Amino acid sequence: MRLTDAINAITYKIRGVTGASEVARRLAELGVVRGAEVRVLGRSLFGDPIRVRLGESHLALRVAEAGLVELEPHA
Amino acid sequence: MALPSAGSSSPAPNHSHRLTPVSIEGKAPIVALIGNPNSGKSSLFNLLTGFRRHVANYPGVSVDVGRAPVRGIARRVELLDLPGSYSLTALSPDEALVRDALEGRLAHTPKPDAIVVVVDATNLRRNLFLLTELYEFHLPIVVALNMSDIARARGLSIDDRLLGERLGAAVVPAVATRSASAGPLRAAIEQAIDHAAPTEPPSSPPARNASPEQRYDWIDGALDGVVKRVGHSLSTHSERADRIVTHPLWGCLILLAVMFVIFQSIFTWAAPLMDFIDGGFGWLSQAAGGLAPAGAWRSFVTDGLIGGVGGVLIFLPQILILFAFIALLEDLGYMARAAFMMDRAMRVFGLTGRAFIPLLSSYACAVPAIMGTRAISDRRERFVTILIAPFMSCSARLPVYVLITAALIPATPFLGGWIDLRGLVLLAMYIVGLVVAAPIAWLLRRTAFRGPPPSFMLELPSYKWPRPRAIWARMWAAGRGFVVRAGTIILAVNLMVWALAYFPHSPETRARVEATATAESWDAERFDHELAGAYQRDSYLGRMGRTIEPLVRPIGWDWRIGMAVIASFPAREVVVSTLGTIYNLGANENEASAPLQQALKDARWPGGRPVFTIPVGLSIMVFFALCAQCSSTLVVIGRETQSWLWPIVSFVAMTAMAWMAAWMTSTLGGVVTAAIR
Repeated sequence: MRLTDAINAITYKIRGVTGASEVARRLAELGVVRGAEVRVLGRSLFGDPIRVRLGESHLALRVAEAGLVELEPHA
Repeated sequence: MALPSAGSSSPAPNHSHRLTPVSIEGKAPIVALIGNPNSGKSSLFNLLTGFRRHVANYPGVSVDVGRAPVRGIARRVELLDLPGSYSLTALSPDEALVRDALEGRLAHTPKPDAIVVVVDATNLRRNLFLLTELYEFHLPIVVALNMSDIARARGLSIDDRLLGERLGAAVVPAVATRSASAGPLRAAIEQAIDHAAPTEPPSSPPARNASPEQRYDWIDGALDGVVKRVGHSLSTHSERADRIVTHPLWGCLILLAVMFVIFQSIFTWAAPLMDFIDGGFGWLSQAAGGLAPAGAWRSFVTDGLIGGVGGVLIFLPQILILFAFIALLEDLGYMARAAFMMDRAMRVFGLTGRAFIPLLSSYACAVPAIMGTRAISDRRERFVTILIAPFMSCSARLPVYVLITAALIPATPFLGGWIDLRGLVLLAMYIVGLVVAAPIAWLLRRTAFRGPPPSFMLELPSYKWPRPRAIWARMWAAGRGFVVRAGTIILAVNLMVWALAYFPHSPETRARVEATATAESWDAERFDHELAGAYQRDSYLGRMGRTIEPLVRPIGWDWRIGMAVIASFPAREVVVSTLGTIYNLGANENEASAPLQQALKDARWPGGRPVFTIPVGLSIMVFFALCAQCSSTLVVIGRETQSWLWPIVSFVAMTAMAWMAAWMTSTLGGVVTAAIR
C-alpha cells in the first residue's frame, strides 16, 4: 500500500520510495526511508496536500509525492 | 583510521597527526555555520556574534551569506552564516550556495577552516543527514545540539558524550536563545581551529555517492543507544494546534482573519501616530519658513525638504506595523501553515504553496521576498515567483494609496461602519495586483517556464512563541531602511526635482506676468497665483513635463503628475515627495507649505477644471499598484535570475500594463462620473 491509502492517525512503517527521480531522492533526504514511521495527520481543502508526521518532524506533501511512498501493510 | 577528535567534555587529545593552525598571520580563520532550516541556526549565529540578523521560523530566511566575528574570543574568528539546507545535493540555489561556500568557490569568501553544524535535538535523525555529507570536506566539525531544552521537555534524553564519540566530533548541547550556551560553543570552535584535524568518525562515514538509505543506516548505527525516550511519545502542542489552524474550514477562516487584522491595523492603528508626525512637520515647516530668508532657500526648506521628504516619513508607522505582523507570523511558524493551505489554490497557476511564503512577505517588501525564493528548488517555479512578486502591493505603495484616498475619496461608511469607502478603495488596490499576477503566473508557466508541475514538500516547523526581540529587530531594520532611504535617495531625487522645478526662475517670467496683470487688472492674489504657475511652466521641469505630457495626457494626467511619476523610478514612495514639491512650488509662493492633500485638491487645469478628479486619483493608484517603479527590486531580479533580460522584461511589461490599466481606470471612471451626473 501507499501513503495515499493510509488511514488518518494510524502509524505505518515505510517500505521505501518508488522510482529514482529527484523527488524520490528529496523525499529520502527528508527522512522518508525504509523503516521510518509515518502517520497522516490531516488533509487540506479538496484532500490535497496532506500533513504527515514523519519521525519527529511534520511535513506537508502533495498527493503526487505521497503516492511514491510505499508502506508496510498495517499489522 | 583517526581517533575521535573530541567529545563534548573531554579536552582535545594530543593528536599524532596534529597540523599547524590553519590561520595565516593577518587572515582570520573562517568557520561555516550550517544546519537544516528551522534548526535555530540564525539564532545561534546572533548569539555567537551579537549580530542582529533577521531570523524567522520558515525556510529560506538567511538568504544572503552573513559574516561576523565571534564575540568573546581573544582572537578574531569569522563566522559565516549559510542558508538552511537539508542536504547538499544542490537542488535549490540555497544548497548550491552552501556547497560552494564549503568548497571555497564563493567570491569574497575564502574556504572555511572549520564547520559548525547546528542540529535540532528534537529531530536528530533527520538533522544528522546533513552531517554525513560534511565529512567529505575534511574539515574540523563542531556539532551544536540545539533546542536541547525542548528535546528534554518532550521526554528525549540524549547522551551527548556517546554521540560525540560516534560522530568523531565535539557535540555541544545548546539553547540558542540562552546566552549561557555561547561559552561552551566558543570553546569548541577555538579548539576546532587550533587543532585543525579533519573530523572523522570511528566507523567510516558513508561514501560520497552513498544513497540516502545508506546514510540513514549509518545514522541509525551512530544513534543506537544515544537517544532514549524517557517520557511519552509526542502528540505535541503543534500537532493539536494544527488540527484547527490547518483545518480545511477553520484554517481558511483563520487565514482570512489574519489578513483582515493586518489590513485593518495598518489603517486604523497607524492613524494617530501619523497625525502626530504630520503635525510635527507642519510645525517644523512654519518654524523653518520663518527662519530662512525668502526666495530659493526658503522654498527649498519648506517645499523641498519638509513638504517633500517629510511627506514620506509620515508613513513610517504603517511600515513598522506591517513588518511587525510579517515578522510575527514568521517567528510563530505560521507561514509554513499558510503555505500548506494555499498550495491547492497556487496549483491552478502552476505554482506550489512554497511560493506563497515569499509572495506573502512581498506585501511588506519585494526585495527580501525575491531573495527568499532561493529556497524554491524548482527553477521554473522560482523564476515565475520572482517575476510576480513585484505585483504584490508592497509597503512603498501605501503612501501613494493613502495620500490619494485621503485627498479625494469621501469616508462614506459601509457595513454599519466596519469599513468606509476609503478602506474599500484601499482593499481594491491590494487586490488589483493579485488579479493581474495570477493570470501572468499562469501564462508564464505555459510559455517561458513551461514544465512539469513542481513537487511540494515542506516541513511544518513546531510553533514557537514569538520573541519580541526578533520582531523588534525586523521592525528596526525596516524602519531604519525606510528612514535612510528618505534621507538619501528620496532626498536626492527631491532636491533634483525641486531644483528643476524652481530654476531658472527668471525675471523675464515675472515681467511677462506683470504686463498681463496690468493689462487685465488682476488683484494681488490672482497675480501671486499666476506668477507661481508661470514660474513653474517656465522651469526646466516644466519644459520637460510638456515634452512628455502627450504620454500621460490620455490617462487624464497633467505634466506635473507625469513628471512626479517618472521621478519616482528609484522608489514608489518618492512620488509622494515629488508631488509635494511640485504642487507646493506651483501654489502661492508666499504661503507656508500647505498640506499636500489640500494642494492636490486645489490643483487646476488652465481652464480652472480640477486636476485631481476621482478617476484621475484612482488611475494614479492603479498605475502604482502595477508599475515597476522600484530600482532595488529590478536590481535584485537581475541578481537572482543572473540575467539582464528579466529586469528589463519586468520593467517594460509592468510599465505597459500599469499604463493600460491606469488609462482604463481613468476612462471608465470618466464615463461613470458622467453617468452619475
